[in-house]
Amino acid sequence: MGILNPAALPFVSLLGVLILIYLRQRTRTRIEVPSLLFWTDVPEDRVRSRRFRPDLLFLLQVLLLLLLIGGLLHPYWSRTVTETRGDRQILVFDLSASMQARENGVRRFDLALDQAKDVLHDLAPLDEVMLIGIAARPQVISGFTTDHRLVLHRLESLRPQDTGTQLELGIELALVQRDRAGRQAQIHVFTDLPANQLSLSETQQQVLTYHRVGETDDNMALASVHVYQNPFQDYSQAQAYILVRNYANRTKTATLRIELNGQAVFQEVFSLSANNTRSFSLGGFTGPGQLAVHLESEDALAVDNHALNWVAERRSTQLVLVSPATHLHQELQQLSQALPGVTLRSTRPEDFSPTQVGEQDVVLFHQFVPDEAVPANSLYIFPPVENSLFPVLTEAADLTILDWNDEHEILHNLQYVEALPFRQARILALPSWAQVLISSKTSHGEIPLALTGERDGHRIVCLAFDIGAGNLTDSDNLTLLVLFLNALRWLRPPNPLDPHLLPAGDVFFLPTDAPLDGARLSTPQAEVQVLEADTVPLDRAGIYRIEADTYRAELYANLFDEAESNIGRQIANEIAPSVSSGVRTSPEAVQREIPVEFGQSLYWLAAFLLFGEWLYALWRSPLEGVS
Amino acid sequence: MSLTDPAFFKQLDRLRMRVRAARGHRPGETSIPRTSQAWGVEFESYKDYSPGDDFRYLDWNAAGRLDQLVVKTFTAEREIPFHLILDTSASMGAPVVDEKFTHAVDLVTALSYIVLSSNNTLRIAALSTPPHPFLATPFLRHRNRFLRVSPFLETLTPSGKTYLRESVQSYIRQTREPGVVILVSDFLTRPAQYEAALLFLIARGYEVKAIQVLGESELRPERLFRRGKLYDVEEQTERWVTLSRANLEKYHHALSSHCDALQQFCHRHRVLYTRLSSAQPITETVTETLAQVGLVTPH
Repeated sequence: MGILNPAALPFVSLLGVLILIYLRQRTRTRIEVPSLLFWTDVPEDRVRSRRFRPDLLFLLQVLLLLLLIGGLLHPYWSRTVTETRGDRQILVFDLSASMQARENGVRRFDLALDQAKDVLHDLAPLDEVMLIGIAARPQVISGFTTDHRLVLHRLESLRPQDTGTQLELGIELALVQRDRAGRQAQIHVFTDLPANQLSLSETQQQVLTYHRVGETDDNMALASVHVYQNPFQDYSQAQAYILVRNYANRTKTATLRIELNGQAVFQEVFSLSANNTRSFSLGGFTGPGQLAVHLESEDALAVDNHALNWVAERRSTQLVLVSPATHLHQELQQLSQALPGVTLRSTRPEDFSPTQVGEQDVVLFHQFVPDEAVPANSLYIFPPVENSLFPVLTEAADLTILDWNDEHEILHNLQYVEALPFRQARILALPSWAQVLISSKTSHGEIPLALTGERDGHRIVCLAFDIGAGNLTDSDNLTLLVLFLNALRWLRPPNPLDPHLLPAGDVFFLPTDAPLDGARLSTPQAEVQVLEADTVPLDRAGIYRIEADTYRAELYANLFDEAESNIGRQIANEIAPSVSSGVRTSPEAVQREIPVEFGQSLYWLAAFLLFGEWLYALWRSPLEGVS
Repeated sequence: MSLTDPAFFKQLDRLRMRVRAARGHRPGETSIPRTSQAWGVEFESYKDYSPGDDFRYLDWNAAGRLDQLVVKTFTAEREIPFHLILDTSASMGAPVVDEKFTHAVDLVTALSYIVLSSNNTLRIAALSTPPHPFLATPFLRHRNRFLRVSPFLETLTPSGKTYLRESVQSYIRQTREPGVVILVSDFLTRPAQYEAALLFLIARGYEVKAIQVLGESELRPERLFRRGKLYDVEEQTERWVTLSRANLEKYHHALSSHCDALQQFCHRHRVLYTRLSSAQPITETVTETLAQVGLVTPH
């Protein structure tokens, strides 16, 4: 016996309120009689006897209130029940791209599906089943249920995806579910991955029943398709690199066909020996557009034989220089002449206005920081002591570079960062929106020499040191030049019409300012869906298109995953897959206590009591001579 | 049946007030027993002729047989003045559930109808609280004046203390027509009060009839409460009482003592007394109870 809702206990205080109401009513209520003439012989009550004495109506009301409060408390009594329950089974199903590989014309996915159906078929009626599907992300398709037909239906509605797999994560999820259930559950894993390719402990492996499908290694795949084209190059200077790998243990012949905007620009029949790789390069494109690469090969897996990329059109960029120094203008003039598509416009700080720049410009502020926000990506060089953007703590000289973030795009492929020429620098307090690109160290501790970040939707780079006269074009300071050009490339706004290149299985996040209302998504399977979230999971390889009123985007999802393409996965010392013993335990009879709530009954009782109380009050009221 | 029922008034038409000794000065239709007069309708007796008697009433047949002059005498018929005095003190309205005052008003209405139907004069007086000790109608004659009764009675509400003696004395001093006084009250006042009032009426030559109206809650207070604060609506005093069995017995003893004292007083002074319960239907009260005690009688 207990209560499920102790929060209702304070309502017991209503009994006090009821007593107060009665006391107040009693002191105020009097019974009118024509005369006290005949009552003079009747002894008057003493004070003690005038105390509150509950009458039947009061007792009924107390009981009614207690019943209502009792109902709110959700009282229960415990009942011991004996339940018959079966085993628990968790089916973990691999939905990755390699499951599309065909074994003698039948997909591995279908083979695994048959095995899973067999497991389902062998289950006792009281056995509970959970279904977990795993591709790029694990997902519980069906919770524990004894409805095996439902699980079968869900199982048959599964489709393999064009992504890699996180099988270990899915097994972890199954293990968590197994432990959470408080009862032992058997985990069945249906995959084409060898068990010893998973980093699972022996204990974990022991609780798994592994159903591995697939033997063939007959696959050739596009290992990568890369178009190298820096922002200053046009489409004719772009160079495409295609890497083809033969994962089979025999020589295979294939045809590589490349199309630009649907027009074939390259085709070659070639042979590739076992486990060998060949690269192709292609340049001299006649126009910008979609680059589709097709590998025509008689192999088991088709999804990795196609890839998409993009040859971009060069866009002109205006570099706006705002500097009090003239030498920088001259040096940038020389640079812009060497950089195709870059034009230079200079202005003095006192003449600068944010309205002079456009969204597609890159603004270079030298020894100057405007008070107002600039609606473009900006590079700040040696900001003045008093400025609104970068708080300057002090100045320092003879600094040496301590560390740098070589993961950042600006410092990619940049060697000899230590060779940057500077004599003095301003010690800046790092703004909250920025991260350190290059750092040094003084007595104040680590200080940023260069920092990057995004503010109000625009990229910002700041160099705390000054570029001395002639340093930018001096062949001795090549590091500075590369750093400068990398910064310009990073700051150059992308063409919003260019497609986004993403690996299959990734998730595309829509920009925060993109409107979601009425946005539609068309998938590689030509399905059109209403976009309900600001993320698009790319489960299939191909082209996704997002269309909204003021926003459009094209996404190219490619599968370049060696783990998926290498469908043979012949690994030495492979552990033999464990096989379900087939021995079934009889249904287990367990006793447990379950709470049986009877709050509802109290409500009904209260309703009957209320009716009785009403009848009583009705009977009593005509006799009342009270005022 | 009620006062709104024509059938009830047909029953009332068959009743008349029974008068023992009272008489008025004006000729009327009410026979005065044991009182004769020289003219009339109903023959009563003979008497020896004496000079001055009307020759028209000489009985010549008797004179031939007896050789003596005798004249006929007739039963006297007079118009009786009735005074219906209603107690309107607050005690008549409490407790509300008893509807004691309503019952008393209905009773006065029914009696008024009987009085006026018998071509007697009627005056209704409502006893009130000094300095206006009573409210009264003018003398009403003939049954068509009955229409003025109800509007007068409807203006009355029970309120104030009972000043039975003062109010009765005040009313009687302003009227010179002796007759029958019917006092309708609960008589829930000290004996000195009602005794003084009744004795004053008797001394003035009125034929007095006392009707005591009590409510059901007065007769059975356990229906009203079990425990509580009693409030005297006239004296405006309170008393906490628990209605135990012993207390209930004490109450009944006090009530019966009071009623018995009133009854004995009335008996001693030849005052017709009856006690009515407000729970009794008014038709039953008038046609049965009042007839049994001799207040009314069939024609």
